[in-house]
Amino acid sequence: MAMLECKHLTKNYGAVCAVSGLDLSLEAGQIVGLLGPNGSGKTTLIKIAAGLLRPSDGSLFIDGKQPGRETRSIVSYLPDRDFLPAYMNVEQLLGFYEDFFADFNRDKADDMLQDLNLSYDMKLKKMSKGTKEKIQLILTMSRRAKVYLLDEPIAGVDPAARDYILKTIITNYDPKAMVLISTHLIADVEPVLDDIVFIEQGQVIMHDAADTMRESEGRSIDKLFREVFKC
Amino acid sequence: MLGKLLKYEMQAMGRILMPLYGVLLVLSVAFGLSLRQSNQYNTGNATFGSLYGAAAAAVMIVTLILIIQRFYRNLLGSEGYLMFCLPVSTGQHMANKIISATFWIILGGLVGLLSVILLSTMATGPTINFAETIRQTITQAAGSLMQENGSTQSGMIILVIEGILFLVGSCAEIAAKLYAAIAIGHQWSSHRALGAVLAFVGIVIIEIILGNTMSIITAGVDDQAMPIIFKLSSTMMTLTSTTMGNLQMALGLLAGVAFARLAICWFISWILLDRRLNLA
Repeated sequence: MAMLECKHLTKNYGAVCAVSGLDLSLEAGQIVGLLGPNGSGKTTLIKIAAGLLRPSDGSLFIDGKQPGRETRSIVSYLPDRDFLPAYMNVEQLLGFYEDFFADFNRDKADDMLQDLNLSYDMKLKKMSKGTKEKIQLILTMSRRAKVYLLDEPIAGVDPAARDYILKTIITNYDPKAMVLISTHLIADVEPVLDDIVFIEQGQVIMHDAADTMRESEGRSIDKLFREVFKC
Repeated sequence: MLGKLLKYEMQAMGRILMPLYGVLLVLSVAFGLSLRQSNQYNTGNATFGSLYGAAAAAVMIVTLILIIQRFYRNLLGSEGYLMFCLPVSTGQHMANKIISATFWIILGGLVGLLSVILLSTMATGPTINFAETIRQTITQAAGSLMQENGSTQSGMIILVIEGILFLVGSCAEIAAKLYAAIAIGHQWSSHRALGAVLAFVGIVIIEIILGNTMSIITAGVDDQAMPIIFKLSSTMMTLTSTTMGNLQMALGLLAGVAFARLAICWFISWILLDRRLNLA
């Protein structure tokens, strides 16, 4: 059974169609790159999978279930914005995640916080944008989830932290889990991707294994992206 | 999970409201002591009086703003991306917000009452115990009501329970009405705040129309209890002239109406958050 499956998925915002009859099936045990230009429907697709948007038509299944209370306990979602309560400090946030997510691994979070030299008593509102993003990613990746939905996970962090984050994503690799990464920084994430989905105007235009795509097209995914979506 | 949600909701509200309560109580003592030193108008009295008034107003305004802000920002704003990804049902989110809002509205009222008792006690000194005076007044009023209506102590207890239910139901209904308006406004693709205000006005207008319609219908019904509901809610003038049975029925029905309104507003918010959630 597919870990994430879309059947003729459609989402309209008024007259604007963000996702248009999208069909997609993603298996567990791989890191998938969801790649496309701005406004192609990547964030909308991820938000539907996270249960924050309702589809206008069609359906989406996470491990065979429609997004809802049941799937939230197996989906770990990192949005493309600040989403944590700004008045909390890191220690309180760790407590929050421990309280609500049975799969939260406190030891793993502690290790990552120490690796990145992050303070426990610092409030989120006093952190820089990059530090906030690191905290958000640490909390998201410290869950033992079946599906990780990462929307622009490395956009706001420095290149050194990017390498650490990508290493973290690979280290968390679980044959029973699936990681879906949406990003514009393709060159940075390309080495960790197993599967590539190109999306444009709310539809999948290419979907294949990263190695197969590189071999058949004779260039890197980054170069291929630049050609396919050339302005 | 509801208990955990409540824990964090209480912390989020309390970190702002508790210091405000502290300021109000300190100012009530300061104002009371200032009045004791001189009960004539002077700069000290005027300053402490103004500060106390401002603190009392701040408690009410900040409570209202926080109730609205915590719902909007925590569920429909950026924090909604976290809250709606928790393995928690929409009903639990709703219950969390309504229980918390009701708690803080009632606590704010109690702190306000305590500040008045403190102010009065400080202003008059130890000669008058205002807390004891209030207790005696309530006991006397209850005794008088029981004598005039020939009721028993158990009848009074039922009346008090109904009164508490009415108070809790009314506070919860206010919060639920605000939340329903915000949830309706959030369905708009833009100008959501305006949509929420218009939705709130719309809900109030519908309530008034339904209330008036019910009043007209029930005025013709040959049932002594029904007209009393409306007399009670508008003037409270018939309190001492009615029988305990009618009072109980009237207050019970008032509590029932408050809970019915709460249920309707709850349902509106629930259906919009559960079935039509669209976080921007």
